[in-house]
Amino acid sequence: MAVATGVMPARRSWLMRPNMLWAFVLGIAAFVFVVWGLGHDGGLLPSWGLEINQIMFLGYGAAILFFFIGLGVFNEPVKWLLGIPISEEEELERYGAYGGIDRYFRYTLDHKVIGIQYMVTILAAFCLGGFIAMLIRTELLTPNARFTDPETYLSLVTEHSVIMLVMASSIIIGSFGNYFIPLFIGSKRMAFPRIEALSFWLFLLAIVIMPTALFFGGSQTGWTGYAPLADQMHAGHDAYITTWALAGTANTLVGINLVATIWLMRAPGMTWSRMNLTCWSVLVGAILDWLAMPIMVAVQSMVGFDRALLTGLFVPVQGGSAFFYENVFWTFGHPEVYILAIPGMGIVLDILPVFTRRPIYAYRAAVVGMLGIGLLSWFVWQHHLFVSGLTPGLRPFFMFSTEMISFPTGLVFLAALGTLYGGAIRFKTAMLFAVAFFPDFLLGGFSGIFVSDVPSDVQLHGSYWVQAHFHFILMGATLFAFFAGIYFWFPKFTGRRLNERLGQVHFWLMWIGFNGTFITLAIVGIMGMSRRYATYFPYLQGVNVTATIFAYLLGISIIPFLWNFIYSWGWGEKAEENPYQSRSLEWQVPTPIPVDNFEEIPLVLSGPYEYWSNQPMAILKPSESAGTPAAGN
Amino acid sequence: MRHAIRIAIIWIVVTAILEVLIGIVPIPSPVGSDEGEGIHQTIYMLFYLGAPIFAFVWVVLLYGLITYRARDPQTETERPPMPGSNALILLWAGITFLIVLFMAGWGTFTLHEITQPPSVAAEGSAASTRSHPGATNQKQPGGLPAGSVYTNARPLIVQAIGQQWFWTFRYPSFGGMETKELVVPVGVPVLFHITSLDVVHSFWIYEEDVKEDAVPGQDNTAWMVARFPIHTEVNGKNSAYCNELCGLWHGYMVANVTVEKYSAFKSWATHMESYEKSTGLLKNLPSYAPVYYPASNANFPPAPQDQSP
Repeated sequence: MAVATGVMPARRSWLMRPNMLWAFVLGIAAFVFVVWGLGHDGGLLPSWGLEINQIMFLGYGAAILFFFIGLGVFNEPVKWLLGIPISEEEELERYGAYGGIDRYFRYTLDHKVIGIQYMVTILAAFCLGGFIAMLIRTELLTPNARFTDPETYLSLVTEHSVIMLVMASSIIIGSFGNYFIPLFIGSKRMAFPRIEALSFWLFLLAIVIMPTALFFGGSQTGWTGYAPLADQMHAGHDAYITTWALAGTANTLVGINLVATIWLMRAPGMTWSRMNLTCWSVLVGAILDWLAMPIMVAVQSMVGFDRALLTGLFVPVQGGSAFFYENVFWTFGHPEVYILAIPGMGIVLDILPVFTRRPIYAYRAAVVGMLGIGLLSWFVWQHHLFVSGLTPGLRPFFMFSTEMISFPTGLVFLAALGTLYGGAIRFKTAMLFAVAFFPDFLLGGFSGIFVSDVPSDVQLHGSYWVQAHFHFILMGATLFAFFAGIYFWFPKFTGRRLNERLGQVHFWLMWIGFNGTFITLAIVGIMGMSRRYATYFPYLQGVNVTATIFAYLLGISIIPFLWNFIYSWGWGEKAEENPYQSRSLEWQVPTPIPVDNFEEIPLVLSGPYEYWSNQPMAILKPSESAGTPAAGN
Repeated sequence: MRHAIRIAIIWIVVTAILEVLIGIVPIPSPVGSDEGEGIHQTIYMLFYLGAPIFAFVWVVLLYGLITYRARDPQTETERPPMPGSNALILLWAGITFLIVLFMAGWGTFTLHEITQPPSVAAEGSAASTRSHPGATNQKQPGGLPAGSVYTNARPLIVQAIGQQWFWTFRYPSFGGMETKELVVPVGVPVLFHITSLDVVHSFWIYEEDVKEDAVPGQDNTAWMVARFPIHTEVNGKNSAYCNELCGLWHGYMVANVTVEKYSAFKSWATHMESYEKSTGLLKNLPSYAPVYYPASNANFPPAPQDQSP
């Protein structure tokens, strides 16, 4: 990477350089040109007899292409191809060497910029998805469809679920994974910076394209998009397919990049057993990302072929199979759950030792636990199909493999509890969020057992119990881990602290609102309420109203956080470079972190959690301290 | 040691409270059907088994947080590591494994129990969940004499056909008649053949603990033995509804369910059959089949005759 030490070349005006503004202008223009031009008789283009789904896919394809042209993604490849020299200004700008806010709105290759881009996008997507959730809960205040009609309701359900799941697929791997992995392992950069940057912009497009479904009739399939139904949907479902194709591609690329980085770019002395648990968890998540996400891209492409090319792959009358879609979808769908959950475990296990001032307990057991969950996640997918026509003889196997997941998960719990015992626990907001991960995940696992045991699943399958179950995991565990990470690492991102008091208010409102909402919804499930109903039987109203009130509390809880986040970033109290006296490598670099992270590749001497030891984790400038004994492996 | 005793006492107390609280979980009672018995037992077993585990983690977590909080965060220094204990890890893993083994074992046995209706067990895997189209080892129901007298030894076969957005029920033993509401007798095994004409639906009778997906091109089965009479009109929540998102009116895909005495059922069924025969409906329906494809099963009525005076 070329980082100027001398005089930086002057830059053109910001408008003249490729940036997000041009990307959106070109992308939207291309989309409107294609969809409006082809979709209207007597429009700008001849219609060529194209059907609406074909036009939609052409439109999204054009939008993506021109978005990337506006962003300047193709500038260097084209110049390389044609032998045009790349100016120093361009190169420095690509790597974020100029600093400044505008690098966040460009195709910047610095992993720290990409981490922040991910984090802010994820927060925005979370607020959008959360707002839609409030609309859904408002509709469910009454047994009849009064607030919205069933079509709008189901469109909102799909929007909420797809936005949240696309967001959550990257929630920790995208933000903290990209930002901190090179810092954790003592690397100056990622293995594939260009792929990394590409993955963020694909992800942003996925998030942006999903709401456009609402302009084309929405999609009423829920996030699963079960196939014969998906084949029938309005043109809005093409947005769903495009979103998953983009998000799947983005996550595959993230996975490849992170696996390569963690495998190959570790500093000398950074052995496998000295890695932060976040590295391990992100490694497991990245492997799952890399292997599972292509399945989703493939299956959604097949639905796309069905819709645009009438291939009939999933239409029984045309020789297709609906059951096939369910199987392929859940082959992706279950590893997906652990793409979301495992990185969260790593983050909270990383935060616990810092606030208890002692090493993590049973480090190896925790690593084995996370690897075990990752492995098992491939052998459980048919528990989603216990009542869908699965071969009866296989049900006991999938019941056993699913329940076996509590075995490695137990090891992670053991590591957490063992770390707390005998420690000196400091209750910062980050610690509260990290600790809350465990009771929430416990509820998720506890409710999960009910739907993994086939006899009880017969009654609870597809009810609100399932809905509560996966919210316990995805929201209670993953999202709380995400917030723990934000509160924990905010001083490193920004050089400022988040306000503690507002943080505590945020935590308690959120935790009470969350548990109230989803415990109530689990009860509604036992009482026989089916998912994705805009209407329900009147005897369920009392419980539903309770859930809605708690859901509003949950919605309100984001307000103190947003205020805290925005205010503290700009005007918050200045933080020292290592406010928690952490040993871990990412806290040893100066704030703001230099473009190259480390002046020299550090020499790692010990693990990040050895708080009783007087030895630092790493020598940051090995060339100045020659004669220091090398790290023993 | 002091801590261990305290934790144990708190754990026992909390567990006892939780076990009592399980009583207020709104699981429908009494159980409406024979196969629901195993399902309800499993749900209760998981609650009773889960409560001590749940309590244990909560108590250990909260106790640790309170006991080991830093009294003075400014002066607290690093603490030594908790001595690693392979025995503890193995014990922990071993207990988890035993619990998993118990739950999976329980689930397997209960599953075997609830998928083998006592009266049709003799027919081998007839009650298994999935029989492939064309390879069904069920007695061809269309071949049974219409209105033959059922005993407990032979199930009543009802086909539930999902369609956007309503259920149709076919009674192959009653001439393959079709109805919009489900009527079944008390105490007689009912074997549902569940299929769909368009998208994936799911057939759920909440009070009878019956649930199976209706997948187009696929013949899924489920069975039940109702224990007491039920009328949807009397008890609004007792209906058959769709449990898998199937499009716009998914939430409205509800069918009335009536469970009544065998004699009442029999007279209803024979009445319906003769009514549908008299209106010509039965003649125009496609013949009974495990699955239906619109193209292959079309049974076109004859051209209208000239009825002008």
